[in-house]
Amino acid sequence: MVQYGFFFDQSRCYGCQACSIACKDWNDIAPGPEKWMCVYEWETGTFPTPRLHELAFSCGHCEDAACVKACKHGAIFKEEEYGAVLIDQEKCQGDRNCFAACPYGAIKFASDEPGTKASKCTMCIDRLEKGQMPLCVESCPMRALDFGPIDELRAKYGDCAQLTDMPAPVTKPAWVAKPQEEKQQLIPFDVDEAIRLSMQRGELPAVYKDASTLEPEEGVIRRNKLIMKNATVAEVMANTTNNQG
Amino acid sequence: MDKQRIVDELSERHEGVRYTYTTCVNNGCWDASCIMKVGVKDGKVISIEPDDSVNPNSGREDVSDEALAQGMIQMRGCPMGHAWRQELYAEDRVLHPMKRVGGRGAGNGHFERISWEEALDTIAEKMKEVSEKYGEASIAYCQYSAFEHSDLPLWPWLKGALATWGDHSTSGGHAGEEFFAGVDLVDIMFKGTSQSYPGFEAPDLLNSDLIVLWGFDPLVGWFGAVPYYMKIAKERGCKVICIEPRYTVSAEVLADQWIPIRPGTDMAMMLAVAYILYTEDLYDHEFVEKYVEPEGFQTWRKYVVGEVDGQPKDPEWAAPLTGIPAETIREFARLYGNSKAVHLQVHYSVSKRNLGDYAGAAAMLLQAMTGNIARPGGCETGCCLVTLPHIIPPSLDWGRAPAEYMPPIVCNNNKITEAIYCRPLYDSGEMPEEEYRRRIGCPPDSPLPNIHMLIMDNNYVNNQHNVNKRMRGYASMDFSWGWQWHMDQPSIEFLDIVLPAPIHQFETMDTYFFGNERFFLGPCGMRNYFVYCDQAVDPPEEVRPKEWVWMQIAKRLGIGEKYSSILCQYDDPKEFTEAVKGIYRKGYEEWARDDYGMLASAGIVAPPWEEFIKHPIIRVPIDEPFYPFKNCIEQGISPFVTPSGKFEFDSNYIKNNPLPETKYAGRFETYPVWQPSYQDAPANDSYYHPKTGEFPLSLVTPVTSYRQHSSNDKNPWMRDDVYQHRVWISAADAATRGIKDGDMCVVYNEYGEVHIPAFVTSRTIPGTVAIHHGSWYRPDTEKKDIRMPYGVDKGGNCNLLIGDTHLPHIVGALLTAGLVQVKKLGGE
Repeated sequence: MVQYGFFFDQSRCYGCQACSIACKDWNDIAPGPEKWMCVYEWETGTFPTPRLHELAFSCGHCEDAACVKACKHGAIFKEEEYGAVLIDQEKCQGDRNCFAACPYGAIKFASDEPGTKASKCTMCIDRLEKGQMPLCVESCPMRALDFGPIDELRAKYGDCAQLTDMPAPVTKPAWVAKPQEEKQQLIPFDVDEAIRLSMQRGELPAVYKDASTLEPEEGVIRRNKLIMKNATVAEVMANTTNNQG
Repeated sequence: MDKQRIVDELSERHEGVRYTYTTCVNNGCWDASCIMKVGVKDGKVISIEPDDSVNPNSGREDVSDEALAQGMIQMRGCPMGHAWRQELYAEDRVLHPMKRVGGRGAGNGHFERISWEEALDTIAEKMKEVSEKYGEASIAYCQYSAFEHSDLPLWPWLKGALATWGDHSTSGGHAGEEFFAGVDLVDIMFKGTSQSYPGFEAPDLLNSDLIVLWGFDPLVGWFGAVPYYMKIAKERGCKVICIEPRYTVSAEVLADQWIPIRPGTDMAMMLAVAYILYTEDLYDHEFVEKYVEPEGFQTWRKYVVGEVDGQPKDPEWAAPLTGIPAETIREFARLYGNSKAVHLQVHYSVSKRNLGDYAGAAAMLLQAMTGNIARPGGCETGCCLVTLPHIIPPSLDWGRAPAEYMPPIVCNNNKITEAIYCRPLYDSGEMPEEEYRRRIGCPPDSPLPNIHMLIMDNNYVNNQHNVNKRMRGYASMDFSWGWQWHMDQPSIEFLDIVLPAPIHQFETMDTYFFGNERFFLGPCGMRNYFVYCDQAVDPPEEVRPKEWVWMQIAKRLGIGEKYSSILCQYDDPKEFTEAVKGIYRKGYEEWARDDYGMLASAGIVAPPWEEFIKHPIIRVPIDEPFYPFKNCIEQGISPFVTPSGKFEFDSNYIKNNPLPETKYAGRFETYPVWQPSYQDAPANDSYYHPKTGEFPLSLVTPVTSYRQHSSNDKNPWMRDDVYQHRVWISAADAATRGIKDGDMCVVYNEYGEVHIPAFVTSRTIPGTVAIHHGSWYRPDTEKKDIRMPYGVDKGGNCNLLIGDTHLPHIVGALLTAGLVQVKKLGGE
């Protein structure tokens, strides 16, 4: 078997979600939480030096797949030609042991109803069989994704399998990534002076008076961390959407 | 194991699929015409896949440097491109003609189904009635009657048609572009009297060594090849700076550094940059000597360094106005002045606000000072569009008769509402003619508009400033009609007859917005291909082609033969569509015959029609990408069509014309100045307006990746599936108001009231909030007040919060900014 896998370039992704929608379109998945390809967006830092982070992740198709081991019904298996991790829905009992085992939240459910069968990224195995690429990869307008034999991807892009805030790659995901770039300060920018200037409004009352409010209390900003493992419909929808619209 | 069964199950719905290609571009996509591959089975669209017409089966699409420079890359779509099936098969789609019974506006009246015969007979009768009763300029077609031209398909033979000047998108910079650079899109695109093409092609970004995104979020607002090439340029070492009130996705993904700026203060920063360029001698002497009018160059210098008003416009002066440290401004100016090729682009939104025209103009002055306005890797930073195509698509013969009537240019494109709203005041004698003309930008030699019918085939009510005023005006029409897609689109409430709109990109052979034919040329940023957008599926139920509707109306008005001597023979919609396809085929076959050797010289081998329509994309390599005014520069002629023939820093046009008496109908200094108020009143969206006591937050209204203006707003694969529509508010502003992320808030001012949840973030400068443009007005008809006659908005439509005041400043810009207050719903 040649293990195939995905590459993700975090420095190129702007979280547009074209990959996620193209996946739903190809696989005819209804609006809602059954997102085989998820795009996570979160921010860190405070004004005037925030950062925005994006992660487009479907499934690691792990070499040591925790979901396969966790399933008591033999419903999840590692397919032999590409190393795709697939769910046999006829065998799935909907007990969600696979979800509990997967560090990446890659297993998806159409509803919170007990017994709902699991589904997930198929590596577009139907397309692979026809010599095509997974559709998410072909749909990325920034060409932030790639696909191929994982050894070739590692040779080309390096072996980073864990971006900041992601779980450790203990399940050996067939997934590599290029991390976001550090920001370059091309010209001097005095943060304290910028904050002071942002507070005053000339002769009119100040815009805000307390610089410490730039650093919010926990819960004021919600979209401030990566949460990949989302157990309920509400959690999936909250953590795989953005506010760009 | 059971792999084969799983593969078979996954493959089943794609078995036996037939493919066509299209571009799904709408107004609101801006400079893109992405190529989408449409899978059709059993008469339905079942998948929409990305471009595979070049470099098929590639993920990263790592092409050679040569292929990249030649633009031989795929035109992949945005998220909307893959979500169309939810629009095509939406449950609440309008599927048959309807008439309105009862009053107009939300909460009044309802619709009843009618036959096509009744709809068409009534529309034709009313069009005849209105144009006979009120004469010229009585029927406004709301699609895009811009650029001194009418888009009403029947305009050449219908006396009621009207034209307007200006446009929506580039409107803020238009005046400055004409006054200082002598660049006018009308002369270039419509009259053919100017060759001054100000656009650039994406591969030219590889020639830049500094890109400045000024109020510009290209990943969202200029989707397509341009941001992709910007990223490639950055990866190859080009420096990128983003100057913006919000930390946008482009600030993160494309830029090295973000410089937050207060909205509406760009002019102060630009003057401080000019101050450094002048005082430290960092301008391009060679370019200035050749292309810039010398006296004006000195006149503006005197103003900038403080010789006119005693105030040097130095970085220390600009810092408290802009919120940017003086040292940062100074070093930015030095970096800018010392870079060789700078793509500095001040985006349209910067100038689409009160007095923003000055900033739009000053950006062009800066690019002229540094020679970057016309060099490889540079940018004109005005409209920045229109390049010479590398390929001319087939031209079509529709069998149209010559025009018998030229619609008069009666107002500015952004003043149709004002023209309707003020006309009764003029008729009753309350408003003198001079004042009426001044308010709407009616040129002195034009007749006054007398609009009594609106034709809407978009969401015109919803999508521009001062929606409440728009609704009041539109409710007063004698008769309005149009096409709509969804039963609850805000604009539907103002139509007396509604026709079911086709989703023309897939369902018909109709032209696109602006009359674009279906041999669709690549965008200005990549003008090396065209795609034939074939009909993929038949329209559902009673939906019929728009062109068929126009023909049926034309026939009822007795001008069917004139509208198209070819198509007037076909009354059956399907036969009509086949006849349209015949026109395309004929055009293609004539083109493919290559009588003049154009294709041969471009290396194009045109396949026979039957083969072509299977892979209907013709693409050629770009030998050298277009940079602004490339054709003029290479011919050694000045692209600047001004009275002096050079780029003017002190406009002769303004000096020689009494501006308030022209169509601009207001005052504009002869050179760009920092003037935060017009005459004695502060700009009503200014950070420094005294009314900030009541409405302290500056509102900006950026576009989004998830709506083409307001199209797709309800698409359930996008709204609430991949994005949430919220008001952006900074952590500091939220703290003052006790607001947490997700709290339902009231955003309000003297123009309107919008209820929308908060998105609390560190990604906006404190004092500035943002609501993305294009969300539909969702009135709560139980909660009305004097500002919100149809009810407060629960949908988050930013345009309810934006005023339309221009006077006494010049008419022209579509306004996109305002001042608001935000409070927690139910709070103090």
